[in-house]
Amino acid sequence: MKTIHGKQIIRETLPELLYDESRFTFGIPDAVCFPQTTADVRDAVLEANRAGLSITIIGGKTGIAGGSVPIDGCMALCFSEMGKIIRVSQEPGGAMILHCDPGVTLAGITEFLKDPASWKYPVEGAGLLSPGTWLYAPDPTETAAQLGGTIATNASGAHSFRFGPTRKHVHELVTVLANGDTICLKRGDCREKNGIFAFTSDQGTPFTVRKPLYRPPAVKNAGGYFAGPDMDLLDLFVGSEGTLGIFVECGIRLLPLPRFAAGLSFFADRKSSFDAAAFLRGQARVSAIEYFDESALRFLEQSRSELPFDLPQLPPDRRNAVYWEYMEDEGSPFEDRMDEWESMLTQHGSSFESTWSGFEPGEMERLKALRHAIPETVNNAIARYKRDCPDIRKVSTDTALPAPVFEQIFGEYIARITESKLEHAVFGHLGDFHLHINLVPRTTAELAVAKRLYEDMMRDTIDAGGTVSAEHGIGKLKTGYLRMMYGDAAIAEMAAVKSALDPLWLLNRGTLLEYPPETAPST
Amino acid sequence: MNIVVCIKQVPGTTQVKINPDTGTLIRAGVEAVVNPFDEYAIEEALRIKERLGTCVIKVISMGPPQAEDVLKSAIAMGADEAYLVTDRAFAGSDTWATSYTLANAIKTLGKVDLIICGKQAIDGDTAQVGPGVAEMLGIPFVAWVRKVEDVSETQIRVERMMEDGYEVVDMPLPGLMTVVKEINVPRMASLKGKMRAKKTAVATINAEALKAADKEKIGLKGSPTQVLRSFVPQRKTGGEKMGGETGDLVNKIKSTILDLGVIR
Repeated sequence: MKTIHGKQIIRETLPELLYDESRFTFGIPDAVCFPQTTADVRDAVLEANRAGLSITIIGGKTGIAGGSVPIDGCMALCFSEMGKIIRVSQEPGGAMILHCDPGVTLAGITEFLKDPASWKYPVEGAGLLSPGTWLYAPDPTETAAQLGGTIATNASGAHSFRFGPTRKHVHELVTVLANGDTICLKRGDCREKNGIFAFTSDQGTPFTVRKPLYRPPAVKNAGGYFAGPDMDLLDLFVGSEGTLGIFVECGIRLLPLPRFAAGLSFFADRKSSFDAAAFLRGQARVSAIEYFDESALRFLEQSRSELPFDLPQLPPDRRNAVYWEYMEDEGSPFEDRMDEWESMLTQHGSSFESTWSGFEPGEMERLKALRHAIPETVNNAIARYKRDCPDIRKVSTDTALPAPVFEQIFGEYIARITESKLEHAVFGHLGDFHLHINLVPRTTAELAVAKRLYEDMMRDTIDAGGTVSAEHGIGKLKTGYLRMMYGDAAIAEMAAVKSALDPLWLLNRGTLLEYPPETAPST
Repeated sequence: MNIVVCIKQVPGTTQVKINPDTGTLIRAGVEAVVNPFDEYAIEEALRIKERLGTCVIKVISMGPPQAEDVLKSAIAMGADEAYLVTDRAFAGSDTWATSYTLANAIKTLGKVDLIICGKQAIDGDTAQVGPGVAEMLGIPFVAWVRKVEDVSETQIRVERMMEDGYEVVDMPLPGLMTVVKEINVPRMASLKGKMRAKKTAVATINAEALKAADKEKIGLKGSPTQVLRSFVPQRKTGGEKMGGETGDLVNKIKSTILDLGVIR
């Protein structure tokens, strides 16, 4: 296994491993390992145990909460050399499972599914999949993300509105635990009994984990360990941000690929966009509802020259946009619904004329590129402003709000931001009441204002029963807000889960839960 | 004003595969799209229509029956009428025979004031058919147009891209221009357009309909050139990577060039 030792050489030769998309750094590892097999991962974990090093797990580094960012005195496990598609299998009930290394990227999976039998290397069982007929439903916008990372963060994307985030699409996880043991977590194999998960590792070590009793906010949520009624042990590991185990083989469930018809409808204002979204939410075949407000579209237009595609002229009089996707099947083509759609759009001040078509694959690609470009242009603006003021950074929310209070509270956020005169861009997953507010300060004074606004928004979100992190996770940047959201008792329950599986708190130390914890881990 | 836009259906990928036995493109499984340069041509026609108010935009494509799809795409963008020039007799046409056939097909469309083509198709890359059509029709043309400055029923003023700048050219109409990608950003088709495309019938023009055409000048028979073989060029490998301080590097590069006999 390729291993690089020594802080200085790591800093000089692998600087890109020291941060993620948040651009925060926390420290320099003592060693970086590039495992290629499960045995390599076990060896590394055992070595870290011997050397007393914590372990940071590095995936595609596309996170924006610092979860994969190494700390001082750790061993970093980088999965860039463990990125193969392993095999395809079919469960007795018919479910199609794709087994992958954790380092395979989402883009790689999408590409594989286009023509599995002609993949770069032979994949066992690929013949079970007809070309271009299967879908891995979770679709985080960042397709360079590694599968292991997306499972660790229970990542979501536009399709999560209909298909849910990653968790329910995970069927099996071969996992290396903090002591170097392995366990194959298969959905249905280990369910709670009287609030306890009891299982034994492949090497014979018994584990007992108390199921957390706290209730996560009743909104789309990626903050903290999962807890829910009748849960599976697998559900606990998904979204644990690398703090409970290291995934070395991921079995994900595929779905038959529906035909998607998509559109980007332009509206005059936020209210009519939200009203149209309310209609779309009620449609069983709508699979995505995304929103871009005036500020986000302005960012796009101002960054025209930086975009990786030609941006057509946006309608001058309709400055809010809703992207929607509709799943067709033979029995229900979109065509059957067109009249209803048109009258809904017209009722809210949009029209078919003001809707860009995403019916053809090429058109849909362009709409997706447009969506993806918005956060990129915001990041580029921050990079430009940083030249004059190195301390500044983007301040962005990842909150989801309960449906009944969403419009009121979101409206209050926007009023405060408008009053602050800070540059900003608002976009995101309107279907799930989950919009990202990106604040773009230019000076340290503006950064201070942005941080204050952020604090206020987090407090209001928590008070309203929302979450501080609907999809980005807690990472190392939001541990304080996790405590604010759940309270001390729930955090203590999470710490107990962590201690039961990782008594030395070696795995992804400082991620999801503060380290050192308030109560010392048992050793 | 009547505008004709010539478009072509091309594979929507740069990863084309070639049948090693026949040397022809394997089109199965590859999505077909409007030749990107032709999208600029359609967009410019739409802008001229917006500028002048009254215009009829006719899109025309020569190809197999499946090429109807790209004509529908053009209707979805806003074109008014679509014509598919298709017949087994046209198979094997080279750029000369294609220009001849298209020119004759355009003659069947009634009065035409302006013909717009993309500068070239991304599969063949010849850039010959646009100017070829103009020659066959005996009308003037300007290639590589990057901007339409002014347009009326009888004349158009355009900027033609040159290697060292641009020229402003006045062309009397009827005439033909080929456009480059700098000219505009094509619009996205609207749902309204999609619905219109669904309802619009594509008219077919076959060999029989080309009354003025000499049957000896169409298809493989009428093609003075033939494709003997198509292949993807081998990517060059090897080479030598050099590193070091600038001064040393300059000397190293210089002596390598001298050793190779590139300069003396």
